Amino acid sequence: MYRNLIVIILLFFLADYTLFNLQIENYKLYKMLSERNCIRFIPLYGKRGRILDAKGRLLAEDKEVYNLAVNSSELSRESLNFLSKTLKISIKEIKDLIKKNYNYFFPTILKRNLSKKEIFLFKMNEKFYPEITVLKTFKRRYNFRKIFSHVLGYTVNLTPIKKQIFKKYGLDIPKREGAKGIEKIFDEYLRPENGVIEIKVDSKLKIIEILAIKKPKKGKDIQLTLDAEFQKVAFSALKNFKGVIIFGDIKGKIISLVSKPSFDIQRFVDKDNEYIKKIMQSKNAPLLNRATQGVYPPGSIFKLVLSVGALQENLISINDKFFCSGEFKYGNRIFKCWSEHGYQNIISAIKNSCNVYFYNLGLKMGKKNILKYADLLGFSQKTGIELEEKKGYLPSGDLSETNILNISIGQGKILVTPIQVFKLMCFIANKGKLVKPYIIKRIGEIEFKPELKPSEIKEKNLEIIKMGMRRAVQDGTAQILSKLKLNICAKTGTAQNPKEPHSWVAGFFPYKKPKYVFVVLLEHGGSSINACKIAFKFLKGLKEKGLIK
Amino acid sequence: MKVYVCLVLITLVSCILNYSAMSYDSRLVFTERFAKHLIFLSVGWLFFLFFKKKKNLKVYEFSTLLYFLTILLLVLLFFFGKRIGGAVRWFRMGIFSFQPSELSKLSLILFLSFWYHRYLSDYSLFTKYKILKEFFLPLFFTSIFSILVFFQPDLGTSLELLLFFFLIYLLLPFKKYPLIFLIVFFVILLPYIFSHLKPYQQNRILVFINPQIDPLGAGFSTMQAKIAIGSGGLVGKGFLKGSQSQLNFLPERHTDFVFSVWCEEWGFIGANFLFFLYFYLFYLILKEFQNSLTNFKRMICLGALIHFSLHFFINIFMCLGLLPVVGLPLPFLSYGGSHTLINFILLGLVFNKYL
Repeated sequence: MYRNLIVIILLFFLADYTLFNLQIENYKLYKMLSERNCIRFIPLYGKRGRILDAKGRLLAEDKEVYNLAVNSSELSRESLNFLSKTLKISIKEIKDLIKKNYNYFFPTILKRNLSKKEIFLFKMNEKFYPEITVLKTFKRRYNFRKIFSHVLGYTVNLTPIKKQIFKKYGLDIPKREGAKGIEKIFDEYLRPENGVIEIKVDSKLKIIEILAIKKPKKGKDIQLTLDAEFQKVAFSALKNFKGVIIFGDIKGKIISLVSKPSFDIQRFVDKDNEYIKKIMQSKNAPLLNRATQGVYPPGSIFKLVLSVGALQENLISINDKFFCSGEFKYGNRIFKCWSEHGYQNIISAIKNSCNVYFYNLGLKMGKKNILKYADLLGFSQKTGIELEEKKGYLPSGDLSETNILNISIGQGKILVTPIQVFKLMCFIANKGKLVKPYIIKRIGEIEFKPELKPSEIKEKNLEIIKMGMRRAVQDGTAQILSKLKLNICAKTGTAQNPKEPHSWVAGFFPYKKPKYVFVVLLEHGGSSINACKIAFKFLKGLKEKGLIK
Repeated sequence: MKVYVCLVLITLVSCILNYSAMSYDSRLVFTERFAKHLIFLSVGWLFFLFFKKKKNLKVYEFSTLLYFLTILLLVLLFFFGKRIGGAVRWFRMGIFSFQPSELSKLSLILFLSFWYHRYLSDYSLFTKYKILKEFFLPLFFTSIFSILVFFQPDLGTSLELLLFFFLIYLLLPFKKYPLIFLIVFFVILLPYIFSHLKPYQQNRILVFINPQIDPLGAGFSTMQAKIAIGSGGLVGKGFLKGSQSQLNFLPERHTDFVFSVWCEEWGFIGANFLFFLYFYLFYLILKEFQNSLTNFKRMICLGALIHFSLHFFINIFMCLGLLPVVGLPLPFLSYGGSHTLINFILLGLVFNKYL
């Protein structure tokens, strides 16, 4: 009879072993599974911070949208029928959709952006079909679709891979994040804190108990220094050119920054996939912010850097002259000037943008000095503007004399970004203080001030350069701008490259007490006259609208 | 004395457990069900005391009559039974229902006891067709019940009756080869039997073999039972605090899966306490078996031991996911009048000193 007892004891052991396995070893798993049954999180989405322009105009804001969601993986037949009828898709499709996206603790979205009619319909039916809920969420709305694109960027919903990470931890809510521009760089400020209601439900999804509520928090508003009115004028002045207009004050505050071609940010948020694909694959690279990420040879604009250096190092004085016969012989090679200028001093050389003068100056300064001043004026590093930025390219290592001659007129192994040129203009205009270009006026309650850094460059040297730039407008290369009667100082540049040359003009005004700085670049825009024409159009537009005096 | 303590504790567990298992239902349903359960337990205790204390019970003489009466009831069921969920298993009697298949378990124990008692007591009478009288005739007696129950249909009980007979035969000092022969025969027939089962019965077996096929269908209840047990942990979630049991995720809480409710609310410790109680009960029955004077009494004890342990382990292994869902009640703990009363009667007979 003990045999029977042993069999019974063995059966008890088997039962106890299994019980141990379930209750002790796998306790955590089954605890999670039991919570997955009865606990639901209803997300309360927060509003992303707004983006405003300098005058307080809304550039980007969150608008309410409503999504249809289900909060059970297992819908009743009635609910399935109802959904199939109202959404006009088959029951199998609904089931597949739920299977694909189901996350036990959170509602699964079946349809986004409900119309008013649909919201009403589903809200009315929420109590009859407890699995169905209408969820409020937010979507980004841009009030200017194209003119701010490169500055603002856009938001995207988190990619599926990132969502999966959230799923694994179960408790976080899928979020949006900025993908470019201000939206990306200041994402942590703009980003709202999402809230959640944690509820306990029974098998029929009746709410038994509210376990916890976490209220959502709005993201911080960001105000830009940019002005929509200026931005509009700049955008239309650029016409169909590929290029950049930057306009700001001499302390580095940027009032307008436009890069063309542009793209429609709203369509990126709306996930217009065809459009997005077209933009992504376009040869013109519309997504590139040419003002901060585009790198170009500076052309004659770079002659200003040589001028600053040569004057500062006392290598030349205002009275020193070089003779321009239209060409410059170096060894067996001939370097050409674009005209025959005769005797040139520094002021007339800047005014006429005389290459021969600067070939001589370049050789006199040598590689070391040229690079020293290019570095000092910020061409070796990023300017620090709050946007995606490249730092350009300065040569290092050995340079042949030919290379030095090329660099002296801003050609060859040197590349700069338009925002670096903007910084250079600010430097000359505000008597030798280095600025950090900025576009953020305010984040939340914190106001931003210009950052100025003094340099050792003597004021009188810069006065000489200013005079040259003024002459360039009065009767030199940028003569077109004189008609504006704004007392502009400017320097043009025609940067050679394998294709059509890039066309530059940059400057500031008024001459006596500079206030504003501008940079215009046309990518493959031809002669610098074209850039001057665009600058003329832009500044004239501002003047006509009374935006500047 | 010891059996009283054991049974009182089991009864207490039964009350606590059913209170918790029924409490999700509406007040009305809860009150009616729980009151009924208390009535079953009380009446059960009266039966237990009656069958334990009574002297000249004449069970031996009545066993043949009871056997044929049960056959009659099982047949009448097809004509006068009440249809619930596609099966005819109950006679309706006022507010109570009576389930003859439960009675058949008691009848079978008594009738087989009667049969083997005679066979073992008087070898000379039966030496002629040994195998027939040892094995095939008792198998035939069992099969009558089994077949009648099968067509109700109630596959679980039907198989349980056959299994019960095989086990009793296994424990008796007879040659084993007819049983082995039959089992081999059974295995060969298995595909044929399977194809004649109802779809939901086939489904249960398939899901048991591979629970991944339909996690929200037939495997759903087993999964929910396992979740309930596992989430109880070491000490359980506490009385009326089990989310699986109290929020209606666990189906069949007061019947098939009552053990899962206990495990969820009282944990590993509570479950082991329950195991101890049942182990002690089985031990007491076994001791009674050893102390019995007649073959008839010994047969009843053996039958009761197999009956209780079979129900206990099948139900618990089902809750633990080790067996498919067959719907056998857990003795004294699952809600249900017929099996509760019959279990109390059987236990009374086991501990009757005068039998």
